[in-house]
Amino acid sequence: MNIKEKLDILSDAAKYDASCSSSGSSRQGKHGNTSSSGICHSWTPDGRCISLLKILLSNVCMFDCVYCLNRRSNDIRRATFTVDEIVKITTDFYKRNYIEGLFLSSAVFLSPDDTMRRMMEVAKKLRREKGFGGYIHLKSIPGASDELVEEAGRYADRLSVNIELPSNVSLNKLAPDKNKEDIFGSMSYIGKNYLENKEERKKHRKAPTFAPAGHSTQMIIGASPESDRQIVTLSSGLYDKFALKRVYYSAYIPINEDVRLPEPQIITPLLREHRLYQADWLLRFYNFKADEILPVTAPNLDVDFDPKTAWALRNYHQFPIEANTASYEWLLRVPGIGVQGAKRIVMARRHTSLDFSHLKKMGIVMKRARFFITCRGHILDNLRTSPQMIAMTLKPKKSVEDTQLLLKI
Amino acid sequence: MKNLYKKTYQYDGTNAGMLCTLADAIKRGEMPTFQTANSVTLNFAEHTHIVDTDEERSEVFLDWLKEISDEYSVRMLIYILMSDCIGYEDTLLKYCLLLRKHENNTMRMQANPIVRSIHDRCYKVTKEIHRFKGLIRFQELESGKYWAPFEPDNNIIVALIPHFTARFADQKWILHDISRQIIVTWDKQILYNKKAADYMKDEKISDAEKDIQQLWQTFYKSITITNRINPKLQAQFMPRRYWKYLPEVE
Ligand code: SF4
Repeated sequence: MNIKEKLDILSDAAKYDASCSSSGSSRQGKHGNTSSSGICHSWTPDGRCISLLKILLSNVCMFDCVYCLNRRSNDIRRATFTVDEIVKITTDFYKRNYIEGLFLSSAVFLSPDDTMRRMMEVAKKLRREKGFGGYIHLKSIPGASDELVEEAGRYADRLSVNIELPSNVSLNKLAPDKNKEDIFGSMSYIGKNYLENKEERKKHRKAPTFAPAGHSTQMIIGASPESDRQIVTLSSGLYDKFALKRVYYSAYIPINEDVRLPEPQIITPLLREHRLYQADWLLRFYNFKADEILPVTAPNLDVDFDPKTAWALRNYHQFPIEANTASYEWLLRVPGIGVQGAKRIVMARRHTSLDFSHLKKMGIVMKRARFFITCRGHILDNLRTSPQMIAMTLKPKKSVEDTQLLLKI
Repeated sequence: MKNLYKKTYQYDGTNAGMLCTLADAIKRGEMPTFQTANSVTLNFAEHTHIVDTDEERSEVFLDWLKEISDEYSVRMLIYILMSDCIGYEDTLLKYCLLLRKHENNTMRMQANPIVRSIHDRCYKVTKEIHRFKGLIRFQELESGKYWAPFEPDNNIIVALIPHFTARFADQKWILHDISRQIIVTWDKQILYNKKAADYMKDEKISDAEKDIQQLWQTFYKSITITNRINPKLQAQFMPRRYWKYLPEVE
């Protein structure tokens, strides 16, 4: 099989992978560097940014995960790259400015260690022999030995282990060959090394790096019955426990027929994925607790409203708040006010007493914010209302589905 | 009545020439209309001031601006000079006057229409610079150099130098602005050359290049999710006028 056919098979197999971020690391190599702001090199006809050469090392798998196209029992075209082939494609593409670097993952062929070793060798060869300074993200294979993971971390900018499914029960059912211990074991090993290395480099600036851009994970949404509440609670725990940089959510696209997989749901997979990212954002940047975003009484994300608006509607008794005096933390909780907006308000009100025209100029989305905020004690247009009325006004006229792809980017 | 005798300043259309024109206008305290040497208009000689282009004087002028205002405000001006400023001289003159009057407070005057206009134009230029950090495509030449033809809206070639010298320090490369026929070459040092055609005349694309472009096309095709095709969204990020030198799109 020639290299072109392999590339065709092994990039196709990697395309649903969610993360394509290349930021968060800056590295200068002999050949190439990593830009900390991230650069898109092209956009696919479906509108996604291409920044990394995203491929599998192999799609030959000894496992049989129910939701996966590459599972052992599927009859598909199979291919495996050699280390040199990947090194060559990566450098050839990089030199032509097609990409920022490499995102390599793999099915588990032979054994977790054999697979991990080969991935590590790719990174090692790129760094050591080619002086490659571009971005490298390796997807660590659960169950691979710590030594290999450790070595891989020395050459990669980011390491990640997929958690795959939001609960142990689902993991047992849908990914019978994988186990929780392996996944969490690798994750905590990487997390620990990452944090230690960060400390180390604070003391010695020249200390070798270990995955300086941190680690992330990905879970498949909609292939198993967990509620959004379970998922977001899990993410929140992962951020706290393993110092993860990101949790990626990947909407399950039905590819295999299997009685163990669920029926199509009311909320489409893509919208659900989008809402989960919004909720995740609230966890990471808005000081929300998982329990606030998704309480027991509302365990799933709303189809019509973003999670912050949904939260504010449920907690309407705590509003409106006064723009001139509310704390930064509370401003962040107002629908229509983002991190930038909240900062601008805090800065501006030192000099003047704010009215609504000021807020508009500061990029606050008044369409939503007006229901939750007062300026100098006044509500905009004397708009007194109830959560039910607000919900009716804010409910999207167009189906959310139409606009959501645009929103996503 | 005064307007009737509004002076016309004529310059050669270059950036240096324009800066000298601005310098003259500020020195003489006039608000002239501007005209470049090759624009066809009626000239009443007595109202036309012909500006001599003097590179050195244009730099002295920029230094002076830096002194009376701040780095940032002048950097905006330098970005704007990468766009086509013919017809925009009037706003630039007003901007310089603002800089003189308000010193380093000018950039905070977000509500001022001149400042806003300067901001918007500058944003367009810097956005294009950022875009081309990604959209530049090199092709390997037989000589071993890597050649990147491109056609930006603005004259941004110089602004791309720091990025590509840091990234491809060990590679010989050529950035080639096709519409302006300017090239910048790197081989351990930067050379700027306005005679692109001469420089390129003996160069040929290498034999291996086609294969690698094909591999790239293969990759591009197979990572596309075909049932979510959305050309509008794609063109929003990557406007069609930039597609000419991208091997992955047809
Ligand atoms: S181990 Fe990975 S590649 Fe193999 S079947 Fe499971 S998910 Fe698919």
